[in-house]
Amino acid sequence: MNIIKKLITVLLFAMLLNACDTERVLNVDPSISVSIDQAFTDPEVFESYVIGIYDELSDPAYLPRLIPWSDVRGGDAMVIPTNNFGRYPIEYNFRENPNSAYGSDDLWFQGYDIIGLANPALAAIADAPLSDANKALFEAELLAFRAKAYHDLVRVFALPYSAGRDNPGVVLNTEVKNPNDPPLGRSTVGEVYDQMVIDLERAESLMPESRTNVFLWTKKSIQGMLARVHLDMGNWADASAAAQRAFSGVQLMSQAEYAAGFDEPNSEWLMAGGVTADDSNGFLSVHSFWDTRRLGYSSLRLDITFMDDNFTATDIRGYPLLRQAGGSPIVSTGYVSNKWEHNPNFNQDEMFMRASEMYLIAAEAEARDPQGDVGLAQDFLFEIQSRADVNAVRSGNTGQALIDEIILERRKELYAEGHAYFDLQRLQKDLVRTPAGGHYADPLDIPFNDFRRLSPIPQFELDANEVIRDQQNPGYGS
Amino acid sequence: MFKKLLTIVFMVLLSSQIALAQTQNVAGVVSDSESGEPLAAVTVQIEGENVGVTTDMDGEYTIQASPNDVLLFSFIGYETLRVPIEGRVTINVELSPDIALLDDVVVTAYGNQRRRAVTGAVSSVTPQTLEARPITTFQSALQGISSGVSVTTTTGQPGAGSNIQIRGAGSINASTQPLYVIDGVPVISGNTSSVASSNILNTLNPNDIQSISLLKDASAAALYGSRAANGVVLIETKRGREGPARINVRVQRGVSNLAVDQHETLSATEYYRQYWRQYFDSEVAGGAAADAAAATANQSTIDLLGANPFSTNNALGPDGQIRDGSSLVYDTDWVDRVIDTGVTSEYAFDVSGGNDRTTYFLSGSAFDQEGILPNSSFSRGSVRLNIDSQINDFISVRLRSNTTVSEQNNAPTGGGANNPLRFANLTSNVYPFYERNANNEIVRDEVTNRPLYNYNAPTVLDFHPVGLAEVDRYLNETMRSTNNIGANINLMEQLVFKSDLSLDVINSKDNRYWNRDHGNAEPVGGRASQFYNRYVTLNSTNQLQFIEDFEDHSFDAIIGQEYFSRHDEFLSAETTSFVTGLLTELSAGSSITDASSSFSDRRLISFFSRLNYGYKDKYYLTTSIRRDGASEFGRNNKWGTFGSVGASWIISEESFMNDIDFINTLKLRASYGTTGNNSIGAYAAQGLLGFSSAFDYNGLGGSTYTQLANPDLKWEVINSTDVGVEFEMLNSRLSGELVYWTRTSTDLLFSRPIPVSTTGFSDIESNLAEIKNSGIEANFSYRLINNRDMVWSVNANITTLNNEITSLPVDFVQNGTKRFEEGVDRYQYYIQEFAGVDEATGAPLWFRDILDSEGNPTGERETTSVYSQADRYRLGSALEDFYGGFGSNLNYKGFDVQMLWSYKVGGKIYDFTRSDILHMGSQPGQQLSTDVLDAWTPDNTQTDVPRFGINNSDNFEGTSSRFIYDGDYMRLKNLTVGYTFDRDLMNTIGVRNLRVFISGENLLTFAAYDGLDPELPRSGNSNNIFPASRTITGGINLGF
Repeated sequence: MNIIKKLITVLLFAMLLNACDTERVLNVDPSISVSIDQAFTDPEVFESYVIGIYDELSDPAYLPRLIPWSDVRGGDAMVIPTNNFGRYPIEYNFRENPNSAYGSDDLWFQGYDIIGLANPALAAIADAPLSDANKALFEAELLAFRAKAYHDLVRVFALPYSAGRDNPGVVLNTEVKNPNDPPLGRSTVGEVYDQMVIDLERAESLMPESRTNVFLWTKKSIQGMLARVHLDMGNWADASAAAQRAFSGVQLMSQAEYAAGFDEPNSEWLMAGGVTADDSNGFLSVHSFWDTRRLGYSSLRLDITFMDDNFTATDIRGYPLLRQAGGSPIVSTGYVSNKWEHNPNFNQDEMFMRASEMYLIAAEAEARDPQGDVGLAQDFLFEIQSRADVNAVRSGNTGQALIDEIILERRKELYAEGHAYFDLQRLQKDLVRTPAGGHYADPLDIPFNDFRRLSPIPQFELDANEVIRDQQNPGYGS
Repeated sequence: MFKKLLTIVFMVLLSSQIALAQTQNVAGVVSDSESGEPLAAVTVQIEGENVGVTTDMDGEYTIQASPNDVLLFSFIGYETLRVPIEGRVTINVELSPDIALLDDVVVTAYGNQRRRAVTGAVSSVTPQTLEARPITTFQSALQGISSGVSVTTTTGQPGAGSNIQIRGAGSINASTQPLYVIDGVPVISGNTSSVASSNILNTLNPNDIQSISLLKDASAAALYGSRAANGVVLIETKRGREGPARINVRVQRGVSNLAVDQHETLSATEYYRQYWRQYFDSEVAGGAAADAAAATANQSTIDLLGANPFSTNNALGPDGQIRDGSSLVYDTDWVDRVIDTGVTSEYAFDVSGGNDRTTYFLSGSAFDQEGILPNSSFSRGSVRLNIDSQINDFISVRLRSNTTVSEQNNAPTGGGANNPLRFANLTSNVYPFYERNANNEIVRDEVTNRPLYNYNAPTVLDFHPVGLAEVDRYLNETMRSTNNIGANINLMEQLVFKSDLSLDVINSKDNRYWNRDHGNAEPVGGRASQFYNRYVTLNSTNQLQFIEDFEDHSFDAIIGQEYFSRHDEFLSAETTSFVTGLLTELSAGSSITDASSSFSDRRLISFFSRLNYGYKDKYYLTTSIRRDGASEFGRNNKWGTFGSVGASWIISEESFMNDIDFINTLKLRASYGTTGNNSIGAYAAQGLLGFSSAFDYNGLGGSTYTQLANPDLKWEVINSTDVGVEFEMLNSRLSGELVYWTRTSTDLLFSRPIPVSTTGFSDIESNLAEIKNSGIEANFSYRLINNRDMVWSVNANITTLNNEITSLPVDFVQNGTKRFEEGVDRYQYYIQEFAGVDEATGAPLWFRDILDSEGNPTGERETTSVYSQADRYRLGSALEDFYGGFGSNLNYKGFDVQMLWSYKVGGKIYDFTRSDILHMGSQPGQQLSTDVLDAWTPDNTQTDVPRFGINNSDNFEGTSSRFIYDGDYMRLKNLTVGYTFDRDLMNTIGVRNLRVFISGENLLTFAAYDGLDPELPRSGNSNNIFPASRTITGGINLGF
């Protein structure tokens, strides 16, 4: 009995020792991820990868944050002093520092995230098992994403192109990097812009005409990006040509559509972030910030004197609502605006680019170009003015007067759409704000050469990147 | 290869035979030397052999032994007696109870040993200590009790866990919590809820615990290999004893309130006046007459704050005082309104007994604890059955079965608007608690006449800390069932085969609901969110134990194999848009906003072996080795080997010590070994592309690169050394221990920061850092008085901690307010340094470096009033210099009085709440500290509180040394007074024993800094942590 017992135990033990195929047992697979190696070797996964980048672009930390960021720093808008949920007062007061800069910190992160997603995909696309049509389409989208990210990064962290090509820009990288590669420093503004032009021109050539879904990149939105980039660079002829390609065949929205506010795409939208009720940015959508009824953050306002002084009685853009029937009254610092029509189900699409802006780019480019067509500039300007005001009269201005009128028209047409600060930068204008407009910022005025006009490179980047540590924008401590 | 080696060794062991000598019956009675009572369930063993018997309820035993054998009589809590038979057939012995002697049996890794043979650092917590304290969680019972063990309870949320650190923090990124082993099975610890702050260890009923051993160094813990780097907490639950059934009943009730007062803040009048004065002064400076200025200032203040706590709109006169005809209508002390007393109650019983073959232990308990914040509570019901049965001469089996159901209501924490304490800390007294109309009268509900809560305080608009607690729900329900079965098979006298199998199933459900009318979910019409998590853990251990003694040598060896598998499942769903507030389940919401599920797996395959060798009962040597393969680690590094060696020498038994009478016991021990830390994510080494609705866009499925791959990822390795002296002196009245230890961690898991601009990722998990911890531990116990009427002993322990980052792959890593750098500890503050207040302007000042023409610091500094230009400096450490506890145990006739203090000295804390309430006017409506009354004014230029101003943009509240304070404290953790009624008297009414007691936890706290509870995590106090409570409990222990 004793011996049998011992034998059995030995056998059991030996079985236990040899039973497990340890390699198989110790390899476990996650349930909601696949290995990154499959991203570019499976066509459907590749497609979802590209969709994931759209999600990053319309993430609350990227464009829906950057658009109000630009407006509260642009002079014609402001964030209210109390009940602002801690969002934007630092940026409005130009008190950004490397440790706390809501908007620019996130942009650095999101922008380089998108660039970090685009680079490996672009490197892999030639060999990926995709149809030729998809190869062209995806490559166009990836290039457009990369250019869009660089465009925002270089305008927030660096001096405008108009101030000099050789000024420090941002980190420029178009290769696939792995974490052990040495860190990169800042390239020049000119280098970054040159790369954008290369990317966008190639993207325009690859993108098929058949793609018309404004929630994704289309030929027109790529042309729109090209127009913006050329305008920054002072390439007037190219800017005008690209802008005209962008708005050609596009019907501007009607006055009724205008008054209804941004909700769903209309005929004039060129690019938007698609939002559904179960996949929205919630309170962090642009609509929530501009909401007029305290259903969202409702924390942004327009400059009173800007609105009072620049719009005729019949200009539909000049009468933002102060109060909406049925809602609770709000303490106003400036005027509320219903340009971004908010609904509590949060499913309003976020408008990123529309054809009216293209008209204004073309008008400005033609007006500034020494070989430009002044008549064309006046035509384009009038398109916008007449759509807003039935009593508008075609402008007879030329030269600087025409340019000034167009710049003013940009402010009147594009307020609250995220252009205000970037215009101040590229035009190298001082920021002047008055209490009469509802401003209370401290300080009110920020001249163009004040160090605070450039956002600081975020602390987390400085801490991890020894090269860029010495390249912080002037005026910010370590 | 390794497997084959083990098989061979096994065969060798089997084939040896030891001859048995001729045996006879030896019998006798074992009794307690102090009371004379017979002792049941005493283990009587033949020294050197595995077999033994236990005494019956009359203290009698019979055992087969040879005339030359030596008998060992042992029983936990009593001095083990070693009696050579010397041919006798009747041997009666008396056992003496003892405090901590070398022959005490200590629970160690995969077995137990006599204390003399323990070569590692093991602290035992005796059952007496545990029973005396009516504690809610066993983790808090460990505070201050053992040197080298630091227990910090950083939240007062009932049901949340404590942070336990054994011998310093050996990791930077990975967990520093020890491994918990219950009845020989490593268990999941930590938070099993997706959203609540709870701890699964709280499902263990503390009344079920028989003993806790804390394994502090490698020699003690290395047998747990890759999970033992932070030490091991070994818990054994109670077993039955032979004899008639014994029933114990325990009933207790207690009351909790706030342990430490919170910050002092301005009253409503003071707050109002603070802003009023700004307007008044500016009006007067503009030429207005005093009365007109006061009236304008009143109106402006009311407009700015959006509230008026006075009875008129012109309440303050030019002198700043309340005018005649005006009065203060309300003054809301929010913190006081939010913090309330909580009631705790517990009902517990256990029944145990058995015969000479089988013993059982059955227990049940119901426990309920209310927290001091609204809607916070923890209740638990648990049932346990432990059975041990010697089925026949070779096989014994055991069962440990425990089922627990718990329910926890979590008060929201963190920086969110729904955290009630944050609301209370940040909202000024000028805002009313209840809604008020234009006449400042309370508005009531028309139907119920209940006052309506004021949801209009602009600091946190549309929230109310008490109102929301009544309608929102943050509920966690957990059910846990643990079943361990095991068997021992005596193959030969020296050889035992042990097998254990354990299945642990945890179901955790989070049920959350936010109401439709106010707060976070108001814009979406209410939100319901539920999480179902299930954790299934399977653990199988098989080992062979060989015990043999011959001549002066003793051997105790084990060799074993273990398999661990853990499968976690997660399911969650969320809906919004509720038509009515009456129904709060997911189905009642009309819009589905989230549905997700996932699972994860972890597996561990291990082989281990340990040898204890003793020579002449004076010299001991222990070696152990363990090899672990873990699924979490990169494919290049799946397997690791850990081992230890230790020795101990009982100096007091050497002949040269015979004349030194004042030293009764002297033991020297030393050890060295390695252990590992494997606490990283289940898939941390893989490069991952994640799919989730979070990456979807406009109804299209999206994915994104979520994790960079690291095929070399492996566990952290900790090398520990331990050298110690254990002693008893002065007739064993003074006993203690003095230890020096080091723990050097290499290959630390580290999120190495990488520039975002390189790959889009901000960090990658790597093994790249090294940390060294070292320290001295000392503990003493002194029995002042020990006679028939009174026993009184005092004890103290102290641990010093040195921590140094010895290697970092980058120059530094900034982690919140701390910076990790080589050469200093990992708790160094590295933030802006406050330089005082500019006497001329009242602006706050910070230091910055003066740079030379090339932009390098010259070593000189200047001050700046622009916060963004301030530089950062090293400003002290959050790590304490030393910590410990001291206490006293007094028994006088029937009374027992126990007291335990815990303390911490050195270490700085950061108070974020204080910076929030010193915003100096930039946040109208946000609470202000009374420090503001000392703000700079042209008449008060010598102060460290800068100027106050409406829309102040000085940034005084920015992170800086201004808000670092000393964290020293001393706390009376426990004071218990009990009275045990005379046993003989109780016996006449059929009661075995009756004790009544009253006990207090956290009764007194002395701290260097006022305004918050000093037991903070080393990151500082941010996000308004749930404060600790002081609890006073009274109860009865009844035994039949």
